[in-house]
Amino acid sequence: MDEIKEQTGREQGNGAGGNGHHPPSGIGVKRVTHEPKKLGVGWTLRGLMEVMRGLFTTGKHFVRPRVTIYWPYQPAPLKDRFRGLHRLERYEEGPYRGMEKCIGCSLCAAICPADVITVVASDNDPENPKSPGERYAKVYDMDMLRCIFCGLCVEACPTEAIVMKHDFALADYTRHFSQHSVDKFIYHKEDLIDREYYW
Amino acid sequence: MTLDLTSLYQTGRPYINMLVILAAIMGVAPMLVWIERKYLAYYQQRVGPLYVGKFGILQSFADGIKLLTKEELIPKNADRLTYLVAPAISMTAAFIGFAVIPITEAFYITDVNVAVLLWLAMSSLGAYGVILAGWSSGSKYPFLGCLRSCSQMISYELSLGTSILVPVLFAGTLSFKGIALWWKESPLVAQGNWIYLIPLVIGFFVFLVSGFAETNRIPFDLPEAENELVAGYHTEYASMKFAMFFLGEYVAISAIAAIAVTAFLGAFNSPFIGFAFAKQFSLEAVWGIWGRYLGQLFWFLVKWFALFWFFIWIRATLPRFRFDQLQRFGWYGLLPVSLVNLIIAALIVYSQASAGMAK
Repeated sequence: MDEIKEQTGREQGNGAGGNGHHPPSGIGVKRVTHEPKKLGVGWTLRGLMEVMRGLFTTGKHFVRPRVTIYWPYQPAPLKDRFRGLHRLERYEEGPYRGMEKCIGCSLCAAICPADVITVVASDNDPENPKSPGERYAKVYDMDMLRCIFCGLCVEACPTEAIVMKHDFALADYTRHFSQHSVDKFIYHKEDLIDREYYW
Repeated sequence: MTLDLTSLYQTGRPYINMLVILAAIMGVAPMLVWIERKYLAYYQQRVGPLYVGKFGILQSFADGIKLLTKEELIPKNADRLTYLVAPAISMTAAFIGFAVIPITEAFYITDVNVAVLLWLAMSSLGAYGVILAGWSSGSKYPFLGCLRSCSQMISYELSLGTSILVPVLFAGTLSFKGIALWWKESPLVAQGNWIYLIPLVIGFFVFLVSGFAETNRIPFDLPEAENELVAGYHTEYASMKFAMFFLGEYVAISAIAAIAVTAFLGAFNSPFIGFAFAKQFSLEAVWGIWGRYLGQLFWFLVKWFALFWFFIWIRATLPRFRFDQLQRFGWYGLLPVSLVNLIIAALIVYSQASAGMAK
């Protein structure tokens, strides 16, 4: 329907030299404009048909079921591999039952691109070991204000000690008065180990 | 001495109707905003406002309270007096449009014999609110918005005025009540003379499109194009002054819809008015004159709401025009069509009249 109309810049009345945005118009510089050939009856009817088609499309959506999820009142449908808030795991069965999986190797801290994780390892008491390995994580802090939830820590962990659960609404009105720290968004080991998760 | 209630009512009726209609509009406008938000959401498979009141029905009132309690802010560069007066002009002009619309045979504020002209003048005056607001804000984007609004109004008022002349020509009166009463004994209804329908249908389309442009609705909302001009002419307005613009906009939409119903959709008459069976089922047969008024109110509201719904539907569907497209569409498209349509209407009136005389 559109006719490609070629006009020189001079005919457009734009010949006063370039204004910096367009190439300077003059002899030899063609400007191409797309314009309808004319405003005839067929063009008008076709336009009306297109509007009707558009109205029909939106009308279809009007009667379709709504896709809104009433989130805080309904559980959010998340994929199994959704990367939410972390959790430090324990062995649930086997010879190390009840022990922490984390052996304090700091690989998660090494791979973390946002520098979220701080691990300070300490030697296990041979009589009463906290983890099956030589050492365990004495300090395990995560600065959740920096976390980008990339999941690299989970991939790096050799013992699958750190996993990501489905909790995702982590914002709060205050930074203070966490159970274990002054800053709510610095998650300490006590916040992460055996953390109850909801989603 | 007894109090003559009937004559007292006759004297006071315009004032009572004025109060009732004003109160109704003030109450209905927030509901229209809510309905629009809800329906727009439905068109996108969302649910819309939900939490304030049942189904979010009080959302607009909550927004109103929020706007009322906001800080009054007047820009340093603003032309103070004009800046303050502009929203009032915009809102008042929109309200005055309702003065001449007959909602039923007996329920209207006034019936002047130049109602169409009055309404056209008032809708042009509404443009002054927009233009003065943009100019007096002392800021660039509102200024661009008001310039756009200015040229848009000039372009589209022509086809608006020309297209509404078709029912005026048919009814032979400039009074909206006269037009509304004409529908009943029009050749279209009384004699089933379908030739009258052609200019009315074309005129209705032209009027509707021009009405969208006149009220800055979405295919033509260039004066407040959000992604180009921030918020257009009301960028610098806050709190209640913004609310006045907002209210005025919705009242203007209601007025345009009501005018379109009166002039093109058979006013307050039942759509089955031409059929014999409608006589038996009419409320008039049951409750007499009040039944008739009630039926008229019902049909007016139904038609008016259907048209308002169509406004929302269009908003959910069509994208915004480019400005040169808008001007070309107005001057090369709508204006010639409405002029030719007027000529056709005049020819029909002339030929039918001479045919009547020959008989």
